[in-house]
Amino acid sequence: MRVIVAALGDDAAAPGVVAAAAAVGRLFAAEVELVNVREDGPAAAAEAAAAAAGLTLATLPGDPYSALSAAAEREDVVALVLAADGAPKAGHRLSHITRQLITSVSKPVVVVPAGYAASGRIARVLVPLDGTPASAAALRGTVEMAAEAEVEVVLVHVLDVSNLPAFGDQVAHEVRTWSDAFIARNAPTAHGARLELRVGRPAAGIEEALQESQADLLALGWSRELTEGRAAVVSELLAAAGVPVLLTAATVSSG
Amino acid sequence: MTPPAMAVDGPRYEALIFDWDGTAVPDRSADASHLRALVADASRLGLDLAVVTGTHVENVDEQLAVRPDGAGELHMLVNRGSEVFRVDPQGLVLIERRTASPQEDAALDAAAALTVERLAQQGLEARVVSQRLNRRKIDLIPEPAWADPPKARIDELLAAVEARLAEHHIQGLVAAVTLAEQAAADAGLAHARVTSDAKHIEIGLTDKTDSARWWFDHLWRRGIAPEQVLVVGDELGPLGGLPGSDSMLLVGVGARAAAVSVGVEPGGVPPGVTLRGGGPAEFARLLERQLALRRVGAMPSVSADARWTLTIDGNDAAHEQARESMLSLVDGRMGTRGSLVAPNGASSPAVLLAGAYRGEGEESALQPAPLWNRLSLRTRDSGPPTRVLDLHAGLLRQTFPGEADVLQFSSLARPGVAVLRALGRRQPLERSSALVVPADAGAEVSLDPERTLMRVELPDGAVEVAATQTVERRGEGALLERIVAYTRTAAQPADEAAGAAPLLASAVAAGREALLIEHRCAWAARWERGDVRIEGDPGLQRAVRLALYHLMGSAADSGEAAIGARSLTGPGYRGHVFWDADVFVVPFLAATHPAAARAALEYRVRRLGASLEAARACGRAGARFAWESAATGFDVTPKVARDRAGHEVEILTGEHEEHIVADVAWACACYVDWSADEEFRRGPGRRLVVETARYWASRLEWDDDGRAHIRGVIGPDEYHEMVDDNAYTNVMARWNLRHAFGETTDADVENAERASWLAAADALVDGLSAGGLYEEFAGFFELEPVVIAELAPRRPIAADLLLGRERVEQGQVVKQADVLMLHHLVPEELAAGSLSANLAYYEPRTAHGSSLSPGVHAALFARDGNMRQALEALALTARIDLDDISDSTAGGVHIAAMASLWQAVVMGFAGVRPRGSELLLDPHLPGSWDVLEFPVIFKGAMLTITITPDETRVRSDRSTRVNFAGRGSTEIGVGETTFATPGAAR
Repeated sequence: MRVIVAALGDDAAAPGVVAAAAAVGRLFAAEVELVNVREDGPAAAAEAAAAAAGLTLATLPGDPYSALSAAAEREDVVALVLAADGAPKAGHRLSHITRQLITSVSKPVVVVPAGYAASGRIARVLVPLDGTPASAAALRGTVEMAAEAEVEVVLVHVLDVSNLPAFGDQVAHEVRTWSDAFIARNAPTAHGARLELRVGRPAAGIEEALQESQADLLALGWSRELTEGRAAVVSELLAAAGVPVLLTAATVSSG
Repeated sequence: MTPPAMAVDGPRYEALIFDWDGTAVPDRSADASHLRALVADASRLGLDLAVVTGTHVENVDEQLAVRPDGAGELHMLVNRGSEVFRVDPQGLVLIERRTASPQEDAALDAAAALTVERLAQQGLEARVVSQRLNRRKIDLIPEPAWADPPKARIDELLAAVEARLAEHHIQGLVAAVTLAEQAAADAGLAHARVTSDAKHIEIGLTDKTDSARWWFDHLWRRGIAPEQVLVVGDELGPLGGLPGSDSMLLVGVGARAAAVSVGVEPGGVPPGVTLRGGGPAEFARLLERQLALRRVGAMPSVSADARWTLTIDGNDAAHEQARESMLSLVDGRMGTRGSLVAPNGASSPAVLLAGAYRGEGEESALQPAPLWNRLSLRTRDSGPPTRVLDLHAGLLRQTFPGEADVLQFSSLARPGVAVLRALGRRQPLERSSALVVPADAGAEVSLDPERTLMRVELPDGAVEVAATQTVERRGEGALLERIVAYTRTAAQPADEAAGAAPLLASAVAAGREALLIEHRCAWAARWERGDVRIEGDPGLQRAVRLALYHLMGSAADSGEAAIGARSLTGPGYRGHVFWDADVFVVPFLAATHPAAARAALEYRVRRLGASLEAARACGRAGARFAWESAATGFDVTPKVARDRAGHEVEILTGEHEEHIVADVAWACACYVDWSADEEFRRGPGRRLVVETARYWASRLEWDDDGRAHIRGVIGPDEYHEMVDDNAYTNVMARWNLRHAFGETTDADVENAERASWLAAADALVDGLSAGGLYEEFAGFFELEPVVIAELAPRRPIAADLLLGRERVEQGQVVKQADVLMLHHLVPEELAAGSLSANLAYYEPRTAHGSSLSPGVHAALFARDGNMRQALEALALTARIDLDDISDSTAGGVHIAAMASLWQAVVMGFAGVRPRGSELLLDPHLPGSWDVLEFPVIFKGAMLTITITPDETRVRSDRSTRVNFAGRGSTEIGVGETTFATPGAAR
């Protein structure tokens, strides 16, 4: 049985995490397991959120990072769902624990923004692709999973000075032909997916596409590094996206 | 790959040339009945054979006595290089004979006599024993014991001759031959061919190198490369220090052939020659093996020459679809993408028929036809596949190691007929269906299972496909042979004879080897008239040949040819027809295959009605050809699209890019200039030219000063829309009006109207300003002086994305050659000497945001003598599809860019273009090129133009007017005329 582990804090973010987990669970075709890590008694907010969703809440002992890491690495666990930051008025910053976990666990991690309000099932996922084999490989599983779950896939690619196309030719045809080729190279299993193109800063372009497409989930491939100068786009999107962000680690292609 | 446990070993050769005496027969009195049967079978199995011998044809023919009646040819190359005969069912046909002049004959006699005399001076008795055609034979050992030695005793003969020579202080056979060479020179034969078979010395005007040269040339014209040929002889190795007589078959291109000696070869054989020995019996076994290979269906070979092949190894999902485009099989009517026959997830197979559109309006697109190129192979455990496209023969070979070997072609001799042959494991082949309906067929497809006949309905008819397939066991494997036929039929076909079934039946009746031979011959004939040879840049050479292959396959040569932007190699651009066809592809076709150019123009002729209606609809006279055209000729340009910034943009080209009207007229004139097709010129061509001129005349707006303007258009530079007096549009319109005047008399069009065209032409503003600079459109010079060459990180680049649409519109950023396109197409319409100034001004401002642009610039830089920039632009053009520069080759090859590559080389670097009754030739050869050579057909004359750093040679088969380097018109005669190449450019 496939399992998604959703970590609830004893805070206002708990209901959002529960709702996101339920939606993502359907995408992953997985059961949802709600957990709360604490040493000193029940977490009322977390318990209430679980109860409202008709789910039980398991309490894990130990420190949150170790406990959630261990949970994520279980063989039956396919993804981890975390709040970005449960603190009141946290805005969109990541909590320390969330930062630690997203940069360390090997499984996909869904980061739920503060104040996320449940909207039911995920009907549409936005998948940015930067055109590199690593990006394509990282997100291939997500694309295939979405197809399986009958979730609409919207791909987005942001052009900047470094990768502007050479020829424009006849725009209506060229964009279509180019897009078909792009999808064939980067998301060959995304049958029927449409490709949104933007020009400019990657994060800005993706955000714009996210808003216009009204996607319920943003799927990003990344390097799992949030050190200075790395993953700037991911950082910006984690801060700005108003929908859950599914982070999947990109590995260098061996092909 | 050879299926397991085949009864014979390969490889299969496509032609075999063999020596007669000592190789095919032990001597001239031997019984050749077994050989006769083998040769007859070889012809029926499609194997080309040639006998090469020093004797005369009657000797061979009486002994062999065969009259082949199959697809394989038999030639006799006799009299030591002086004659060529073909053996038909009716008998011998003389193909070629070298005839000595009386002076040469006398010189041969004198040379032989002198040789004998000089040998006698050394005390050696020798005799002139034979006066054959173009040679004299001297017997070095005229002793009864050696009267007629068998070849098997060659080593003994050699020893006896050398001993005899040594007795008279002649240092071996080499010295004797040297003596004879000197005698020949002294007798006035500067280039005598002196050979020896140990017993004789022959002094002649020809030798076996002439036979070889003729034979390999002939095979090349049959689509067979030297490496596909087997040479068999008994004297391939040295004899007495001299090259063996059969070794002369391996000089020049013959060096790439496979060679086997069945002789004794006392001096060994050269590297690369396999020594089998065994004499005629071994030759017979070799021939039997070749026939056996054909009977079991062994795979025909393809060329191994990198200059003529595109080889793709392995699987690379990211680039697979672009590769499929480049590997497409094209025959002018049908295109089949070069997909793996055992497709993987990255494959995008497609079969497209020219002009077979589905849908309407801007949704019209080429209908995906049933696929004939699929096999149910199990490739998971096989090694990485290899695909080789033999450009010269139009063959695609696919190898799946351990699983299957596949050969495909789409017959250029029978457009619409395709053949697939596969050798491999039996069960997968038995499971393979001849036809597969593509997933995106999206149309009503009916299948007649008994006849394996599919029909795909179209708005204006149908595509019909018939197929036949056999799978026969071959040892532990199987041979699959599939023949398919595609036709387009009318909505209600009047008779079944027009359908796919009769086309298929005709192909099946011809037989697999005949289909292959005629297909190879058809491609070879196209290359004979359309190849471009560049020595000094192998990478460019291969790129040029890939482009030429696709150009040759882009258009049928009868009926009409709808040449879409991506030809028949992919779904990109939906098969819609743009000016790409008229001003880019037609010139190549007109100069190399006029019938195909005529078909491309027929496409326009048949849409004249729609064009007249379109003009009326916008209140104009004449014909307004659509910017983007498909089945009906009405405009199918999309009205809106999303650009790459994600913005929905209005597409105005359909409504405002009107220069297409003049482009069509220009294509007519180009075709007539090359072909002198008076019937077209006076008939439909004139009609097109007149109606397009009428359009322009009605399109003009006159100002108070009596000048005429064309306002609110889009020129080739599509970054600037709704401009006034676009130079390209206005000058082409002016040319159109003047040309229409020149092509008509008052018998065709009333003089008053004709006169109005001239007046309009004279009044049209053209943007010419001081210094010879043409203003691209009114107000261009006042725009922000953006020089994209200084701003952009690289070119080509989509500048509208780099700088934003607004800045580009308000700046002097040019998408592609616009003013410069005039210098390329109608230089006579422009101020003399204005090319340099306009190149210097506009090229740095050109982003080359269109794949049509770099090739034009290459041509212009070459004409202007700027070799560095010309070669840079040429190299870029050559790599557009090979490197998938646009990241969109997956949708099909850029056929107009490929045409611009030919134009750059021929019209630019060679400076060749027709002008009235003369052909202009003004070469500018880059220092890195040793030779540039290409054929053209000018007013029916077949010309071959060869340009080297020192000279330019023009070979013609009839009198032709040529104007070389602006030195004035000259009538050149039949044969070769040489000019001194102008000095090398900077």
